[in-house]
Amino acid sequence: MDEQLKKLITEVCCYPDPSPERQKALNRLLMVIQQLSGIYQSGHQDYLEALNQTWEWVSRKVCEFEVRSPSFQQSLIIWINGYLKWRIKDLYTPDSKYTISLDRPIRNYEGDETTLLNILPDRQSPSITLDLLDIKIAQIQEVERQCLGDRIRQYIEQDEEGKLTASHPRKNPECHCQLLAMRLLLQQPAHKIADLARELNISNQTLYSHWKKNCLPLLREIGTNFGYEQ
Amino acid sequence: MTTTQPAQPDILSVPLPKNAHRWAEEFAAQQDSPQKGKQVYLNTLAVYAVHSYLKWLNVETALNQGDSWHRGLRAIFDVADLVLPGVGKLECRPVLPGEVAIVLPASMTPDRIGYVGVQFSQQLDYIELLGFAPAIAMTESPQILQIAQLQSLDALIEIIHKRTLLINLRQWVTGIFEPDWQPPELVFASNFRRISTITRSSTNSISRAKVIDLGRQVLLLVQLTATNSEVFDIRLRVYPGDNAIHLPANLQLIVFDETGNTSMEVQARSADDWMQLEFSCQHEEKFSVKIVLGETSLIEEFVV
Repeated sequence: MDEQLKKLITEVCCYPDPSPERQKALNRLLMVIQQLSGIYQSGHQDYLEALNQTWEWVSRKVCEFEVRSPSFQQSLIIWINGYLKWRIKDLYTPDSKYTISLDRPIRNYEGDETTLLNILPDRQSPSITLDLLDIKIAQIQEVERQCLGDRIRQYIEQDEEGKLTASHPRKNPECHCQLLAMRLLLQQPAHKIADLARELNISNQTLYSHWKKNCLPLLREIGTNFGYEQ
Repeated sequence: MTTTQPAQPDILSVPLPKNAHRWAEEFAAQQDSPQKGKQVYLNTLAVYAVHSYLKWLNVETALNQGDSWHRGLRAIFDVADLVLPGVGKLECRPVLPGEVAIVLPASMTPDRIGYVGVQFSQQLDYIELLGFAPAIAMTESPQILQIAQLQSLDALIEIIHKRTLLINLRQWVTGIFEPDWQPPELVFASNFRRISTITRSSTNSISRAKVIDLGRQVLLLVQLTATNSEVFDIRLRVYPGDNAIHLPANLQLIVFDETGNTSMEVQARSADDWMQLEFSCQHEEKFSVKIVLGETSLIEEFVV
């Protein structure tokens, strides 16, 4: 294994970063490293983020790796685990790093000295302060946003401007974009194109090309517009 | 005797950190049914995972520029696209335990460079990257990709690399140009010819030009005109550079199709002012242009 790892790392390092040759060599190296036993594992809440960042770091820095123990593999694992454990700590600490004392003296808007505790909003207070307005608005919007899917469905179902129902193959007025959108996109599970074509007595090809050429652009426009509104 | 080889040595595992789940939760909460919510949740995780993997390899991605990150579009369509700036869009399809094939959604737009299979397991802590399939030419019905037929991730890297070398005419339409392709006014200003004789500008066409050095300089002008359908009309013109009046005699302009076959060519006679080739291309079609002067030649590759 030592020889294989050495060979893979040498290969990665003989190409510039980024280059397709290096990226392919990294693919092979990462596949082997991920299978090594001894990579630190943990149930820590930040472990997966730390591991993700570790693979990025390994990919970037592997050419700086120096063997320190007789076993190449052992040495590599120690090197990787060192970074991984350090990342977990690093990700976990920001919360505590910014803990500040409520009794810390600060200046209020008028320039008078007070403490942080004094200017923090009172939890019991029913009235909303300017400081909390952002959070409040975000909460209201969250409730609104949860209905986005519903509102888009309604919009398509109602099709008030008649744009979707007006678009159909010339000889098949019933095969319009509104029906296709309902059956192929909105209904779960979605219908199959072949089944729908049989039901509407229209060829697969006609239905599919109408769908792609005319319906998808219309629906894209609707989706895009819903994305802008807040 | 049995060996203790890893079961699947060709598969990369990508962690799904809290951050990925936060996005997935937020996006899923906006949907109108649990099924749609689940689809959005998994699509979001799949896109995030491929984004992470490409970050390891130092490939640039723009996570929030895809339809999958657009609140209106992901609510309507089944999308799991990831934008690779200057390269194109990758579709990252979730594969659930037991599935042997990926059914591409009927609403998929034909602008993908390819598809990555993303294997989920019961525990949503990691996914496995199954492999890659390059985009298939437009067909009459939605495509099904067999997992067993996916190519390795090396094929993905190859395609990304090839596409960074291509001149992307599709991006010209959105106002993104490669730096050596300049507005014709600029390129021709330093030359003898008056611009008005060169471009009949129309609202739906875009022109760019580039100086090409073959020992003697020539100017290559590409004019792209959008039509009503998905087809673009392309006009290539070669003008003399170096303030010359005529093109060098025997200068050749050749267009190759995707498979490398010559599809058209033209050769300058002794006193030609310019020469041109005109043709049409579909979306995603590739072509290359070769300009030959004696022993010297230069190739430019394009994708529409």
